[in-house]
Amino acid sequence: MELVTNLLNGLSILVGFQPILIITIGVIAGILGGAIPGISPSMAVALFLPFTFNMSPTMALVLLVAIYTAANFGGSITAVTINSPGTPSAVVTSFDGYPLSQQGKTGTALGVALVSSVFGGLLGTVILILFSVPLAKVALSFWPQEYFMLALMGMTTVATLGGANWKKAMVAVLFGLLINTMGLDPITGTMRYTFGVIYLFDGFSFIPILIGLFALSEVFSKIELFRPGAEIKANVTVSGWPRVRDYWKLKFSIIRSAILGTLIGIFPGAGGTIASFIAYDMEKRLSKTPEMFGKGSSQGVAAAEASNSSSVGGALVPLLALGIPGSATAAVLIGALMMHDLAPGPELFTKNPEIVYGLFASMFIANAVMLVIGLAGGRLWAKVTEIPQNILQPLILAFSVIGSFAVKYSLFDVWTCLGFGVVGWLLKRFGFPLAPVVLGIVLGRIAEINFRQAMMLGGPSMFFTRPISLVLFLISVASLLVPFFQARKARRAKKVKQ
Amino acid sequence: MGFVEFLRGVSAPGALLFILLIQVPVGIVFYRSRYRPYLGQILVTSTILTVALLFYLMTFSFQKVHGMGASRTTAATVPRLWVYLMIPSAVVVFMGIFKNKEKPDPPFGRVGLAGTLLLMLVVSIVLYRYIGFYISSALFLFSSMWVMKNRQPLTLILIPAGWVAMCYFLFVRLLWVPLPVGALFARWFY
Repeated sequence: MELVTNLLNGLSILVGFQPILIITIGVIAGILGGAIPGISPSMAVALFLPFTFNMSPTMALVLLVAIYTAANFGGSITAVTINSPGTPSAVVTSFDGYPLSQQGKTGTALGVALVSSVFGGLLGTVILILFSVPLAKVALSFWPQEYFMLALMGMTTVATLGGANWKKAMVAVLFGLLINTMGLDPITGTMRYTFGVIYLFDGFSFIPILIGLFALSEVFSKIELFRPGAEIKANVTVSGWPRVRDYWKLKFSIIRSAILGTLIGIFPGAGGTIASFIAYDMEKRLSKTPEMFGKGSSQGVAAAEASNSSSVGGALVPLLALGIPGSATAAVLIGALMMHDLAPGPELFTKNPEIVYGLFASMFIANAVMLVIGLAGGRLWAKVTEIPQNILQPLILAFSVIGSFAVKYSLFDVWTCLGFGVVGWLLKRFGFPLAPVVLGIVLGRIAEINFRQAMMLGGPSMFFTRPISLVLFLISVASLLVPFFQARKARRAKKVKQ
Repeated sequence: MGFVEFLRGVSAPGALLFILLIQVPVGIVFYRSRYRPYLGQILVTSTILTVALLFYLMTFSFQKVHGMGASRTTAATVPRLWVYLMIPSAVVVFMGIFKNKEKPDPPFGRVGLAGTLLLMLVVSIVLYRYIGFYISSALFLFSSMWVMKNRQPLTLILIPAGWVAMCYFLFVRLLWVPLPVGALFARWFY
């Protein structure tokens, strides 16, 4: 009852033209920021942070969280239309979103991404409101071995991502893991594989690798197929948006992925990217048409978007309940809280409930505003796919360059993008999937740091003596072995039939 | 100079040379063999394996940090773990290729065109230092659209112009990204 009262009090602060305007500006800024490769959600939030100085603490947080919420959807726009995820968490959206777009179903892909994002965000907010304190305690109970097992569980999705190419997928994920070891060792500070290049002390930046592997490789592949005169527009017709019943068919995928995304998002460092990989893997295994995943499955898009949007709520759990940021963007939000003389943590709920519950209420409104703006702007985003190839591809190349440069204002990142673009082109050309490379790069650091910390704490037995760690390990092993045995069973059944 | 010192001093060109010294003979051998239809896949797998081998050798040059003995792990532990997993994975891929379980390499499309645009992009990036981002990227857009047979004058002018304007207002004025202005024009800006 007290919860409802607090929420209504929080909502009452937002009734008015100015709060709605602030949320709308935040959503638009978030969508645009997320859509532009090179501008991450944390960067978009950080850019608007100074503008909140003269706002009330509630309005400041409302604006910044609206940007955070919308940026995750924004990243899916470019992931779907030009296979260039605007945010790391939109990588998985591109697995099925872009193929859908190539089949002339851009509207379907964007519509599913939008609605899944909105409902995933709403569900994540509900879980945040109801369970923030107990969930925060769960996050605290995770030791390094549990984090390592979580990363291992993420890596087992390579079996699903690879599909028929699972052997090459294994090589690809290990390649990504090796690339991730470049730079200073996170535990001892030893220089590894820097080849005397100062810029490699921190390893390669992730965003330029992402842009290169996905956007540039796709551009080069498209140019290989380019035929002037028989100009292939990316889509001859742009399909209409899905109907309500199309969304209804995806309800269970959205709910499952949103819950999973929120739960994974509560673990600091895990984030929307890992959540979207695991949710995608789960939905593929549960789907009646798993063979469609990777070729244009709405369920795949829904899983990716619902999970990465709900992880926003998850990331705010440790932030608000414990003062520990669950993601890079949440870390920027801590700066916002401190700027307004607020101490994040359990006392925020008791000393400033109007701020916390105002924030919760604003997340509902932000998701609703995102739905409206997303629908209104959807046809505009879809028009991108109608641009002739001999204009679109050079523009994507130019965008990739500036997107890579914008990360750290470094030309080294631009060369990184170009280099990985060529690598991605060659890998794709010869049947090596790119998603596992990204998976390896995303999970490598988490896996290594926590593995070594666990070893320091008590050696190899630590991974098997704690129950949560053991359960996660068994789930990971099952995830890897079950598809293998199922495929073997299917082959035997086929032989018997013949 | 000991082997470890040698490894510690490996530069990027040196690493590239090491990879080429292995891949070129591999490429020649398999080009002349009956596995030529799979040459691309073989070269990609062997290149990744060579990189893994190089990384493995370089782990012997990592400086040992004192006082970390009880940790049971060093900076070399995890890279070596990935290499140990990479070797059998690559072998499995090779076995699939040699047993003809993989599809042959796809035929080449307009690789020349893709290579041309890549080269133009490289030149454009190199030119940032001299003529700045705006002129260089505008020239790149114009020339790449031209190379891709776009001959509409309005498009050839408006797209680069619009691009420069968008970059200036969005990235420089709004996002405060300091785009390179080039040595030729630096004195006008600084």
